[in-house]
Formats: sequence, C-alpha cells, structure tokens
Amino acid sequence: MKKSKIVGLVLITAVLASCNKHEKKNWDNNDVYMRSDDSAPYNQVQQFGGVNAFMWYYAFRPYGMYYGGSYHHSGYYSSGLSESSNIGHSSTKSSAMRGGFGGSSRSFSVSS
Amino acid sequence: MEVVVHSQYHHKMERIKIVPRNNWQKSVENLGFGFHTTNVPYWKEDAYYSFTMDEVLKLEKATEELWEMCLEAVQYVIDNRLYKKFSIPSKIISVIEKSWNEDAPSIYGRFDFGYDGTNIKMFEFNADTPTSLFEGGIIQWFWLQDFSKDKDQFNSIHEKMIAYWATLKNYLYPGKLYFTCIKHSLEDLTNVEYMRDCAMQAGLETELIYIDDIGHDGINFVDTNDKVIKNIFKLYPWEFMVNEKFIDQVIDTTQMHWIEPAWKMILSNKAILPILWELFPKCPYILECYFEEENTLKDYVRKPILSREGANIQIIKNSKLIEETKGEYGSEGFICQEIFDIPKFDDKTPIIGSWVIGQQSAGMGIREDSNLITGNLSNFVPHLISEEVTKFKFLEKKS
Repeated sequence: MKKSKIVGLVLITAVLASCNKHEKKNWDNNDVYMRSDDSAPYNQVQQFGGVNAFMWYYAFRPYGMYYGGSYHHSGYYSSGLSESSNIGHSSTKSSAMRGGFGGSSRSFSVSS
Repeated sequence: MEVVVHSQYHHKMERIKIVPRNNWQKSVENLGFGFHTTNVPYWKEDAYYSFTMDEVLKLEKATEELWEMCLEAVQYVIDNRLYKKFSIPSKIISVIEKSWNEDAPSIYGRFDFGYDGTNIKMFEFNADTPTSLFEGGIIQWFWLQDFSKDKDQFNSIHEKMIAYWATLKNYLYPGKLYFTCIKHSLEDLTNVEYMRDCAMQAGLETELIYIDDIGHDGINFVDTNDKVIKNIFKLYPWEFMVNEKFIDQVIDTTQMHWIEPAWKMILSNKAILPILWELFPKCPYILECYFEEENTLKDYVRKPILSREGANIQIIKNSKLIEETKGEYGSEGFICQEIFDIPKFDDKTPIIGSWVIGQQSAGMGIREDSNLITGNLSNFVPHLISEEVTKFKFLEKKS
C-alpha cells in the first residue's frame, strides 16, 4: 500500500486556519496602533500579505534573557511592529545582533 | 491462504476531469491550506491524474535509484573540488565538507520528473528548499478520502516524515529544534509549520522563529529570547545565506545543525545535472546535459545553475528560441539539458514531484501548466492509483 493509513495534525490546522480569515474590507478605518512594551513608542501595525496581523502566529513573542540560572522577562516582540516600536530604549532587547539573514528573498516565497 | 491480485485494467497515466467537491475551499482551509488561490487558482480539483500501480512502482524505483546516484555525485564533486562549476564561494567549502563528512542530519528532497507513459526523466532535484510538501502529504490525501476512499495514492509523506524526525532526534544536539522561514509568505510558513507538526508528533521540542529574527550573540546563534539555537530547520536557501551577513557566523559556529545541511548546496544546484550525465550516461532517468560552454546539443533547455520556480529558462530547437521565461537569474552560469517531450493532457503539461524522505521514496505531487515551462503559476492537481487491489481468501482443504 502506498498511502498513509492515519493522518493527524497537532499544530498546523488550528494555527494556519486562523491565518486565513477574510480581511475586513474597511481595514483603513480600523487602524490599530501597538507597542511591544512601555519602553517603545506606539506604531501602526502592519499586515502580512493579506493576513490580518492579529491572526498571525506568534503575534507577540515573549522576550527576555537567561542569566543567574533563571529567565528574566523583559517584554514582548512582534514582527508586526516596526523596529522602533519593538526595541524602544530597552538595552536587553538589542544585546544580540539580528537581521543577518533574510535580506536576499526576492519574492514572497523561497519555494522551489 | 491469501492471494493479492491486481486488477487487469492497465490504463496508463490519465487526466480525468471531475466536478470539484462542494465548497472545497472551506474543506482545504479547515486543514490549514490558506494559499489554495492567490490571484489565480493554485490548488485545482476539477481533474485528477490516475496512475497504475506498475507506474507508481516504476516512479518509486527511479526515485530511490536517483537518490543513490545523487549521493555518489556529491562525493565526486567534493573529491574533485568542482565548486567553481557550481559557483560556490570558497569560504563555505569547509562548512559543506564538514556537513558531508559528519553525515549531518538531512530530511528531504523532491525530484521533478517528466513521464511520457514509458520513460521517466529527471529534470532537476529540489534538494534544499523543496515546497508543496503540505499539498502533497495532506491536502491531496484528504481529497482522496472525500473523492474515493477505497482508492490508493502514492503518498506516505506524512508517516515517513514523522518516522524520520524520530530517527534524527538521536543525532541532534540537546535542546529545541527551531524552524525558520521568511516573513510575509503564507506558503512558506505553511510548509514549515507542517514540518514542525511532524517533528512534534515525533516527540521533538520545537519553536518557530522567522529568519530575520535570528540573532547572534558573538558566540552562538540565538532566538528572540537570546536562548542558544543548536538545531534549526530552515526553509531558506543556502545560495541566499552565503551572500548574507551571518554567513561568517555560520562558518565560525561549528557545533550547530542546519537542516537541510550545507552539502545540499551541491544537489540543489543545476550544475549537478551535467555531473550526473558525466557519471551515469547509461542511466535511463538522466537526460543528456552539459555546461553551456561544453554544449553540443542542438535541441535543449537552457537553465541557470541557480534559479527558482522556472525563472530564466529557454527552450531551444534547431538553434531557435521556442519558449522562455523571464527572471533575475543567470549570472552564475547555465547548463543545457536535452529536451524531453511530455505528452499534453487536456492541453496541460504535468510535472511529477517525487519525494525522498529519509533516504526513501515517499510519494508524489503533480503540478501542471499550460506552458511547457512549469513556473510559480502552475496548478497542483491530486492523483490516485487506478487499480483496486483485490484480496481473495482461499480456505485450504483439509486432507
């Protein structure tokens, strides 16, 4: 037999089905401004290729550091926000160099 | 005693028009397939392709044999240091060779085949960032459950993926397995999240991070919480990575697994096609092929050694340009591959994407296009195996 007997998904259905909600047509009248924490200025959230930013997986990811044997939470980070609204003046958020990959993508997909 | 008999109906590959399921869009969206239609339809179920079991067995055999030959070809390229022909920068060679010599974890690849009812020919091997895995493994399988549940499909992508992640678990560094892709592409995110879904089912601890969120703390690659990344699956091509800022950190960070590993740069490069022809000229699956500067063919397909989704390809017959696609590729050089005519089905040219997962043939997905060159606007069309396998049970007489 060539086909799968049982196919089950644990993650993707719920996550990606939510990415596919239809956009509100009057989005322009529903501008939303966010910031990652109170060290950063508010900024209007972006949309991703027709996907509502609020539906996007990991809309806000916790951000912190491990030191002294424990985790120290220092805020949240979102790919829907501009760099200024993510980082603000929090020194811990800029301790690692980022953005060293991702600049070559010439289209909306790298598929082959 | 049980005797398995394949039916005697041996229709070869066919394209059969059907009526799509009512509200199929909702059905596939419920599975998490959000990119079934962009400006034009991508997933189409107003037809399917039908194969005989014999044809499927031939495709399976071709896939496994070609995979073996590809591994031999990688060894040949490394032994003979042919990196210049692949336009591979010298600074990344140590990373390639280390990943090859240490047998770094690798999980998948997709051959693109042409099939004329008799011959199977390899057009290329998408060895680094192949996509359509979710459509192939999940969407067409659930389509078959609705359309004809008693039929079979050349598709064990899902369980082979889970099984191989479980095998690779023992070869990874301690800690999470990260998954990364670019932002802004639902197609790429879907493929990566599907891979992650399979890894989770194999018992791995996983996390998603977008490629441009990856950081480096001077010693290690880190996630957005500055936690060290030791294992990462990337849907992002090595050919992009080698030209980006963090490639120096990749070279310096030796205790880390990148999946697919760096040696896949050799196989995903179309320069491997003339190498395969040089090594295995009698192989029935390999088309005659040369680097452009050595080409003797009069009728050929001219392809950039690095290109994606059918960009910058020309079809030349009797030194005349028959068809071409635009794009931004070609500066690294071209190869010239013998033309292989695929019969049209309802004016469509189908390409068979045949998956290798964990060293084994694992199933296929079919993309079809109205043009001769399959591009990023081609359609994914499901398939099934036409023969029903009938089981007859005979009771043995007691003497």
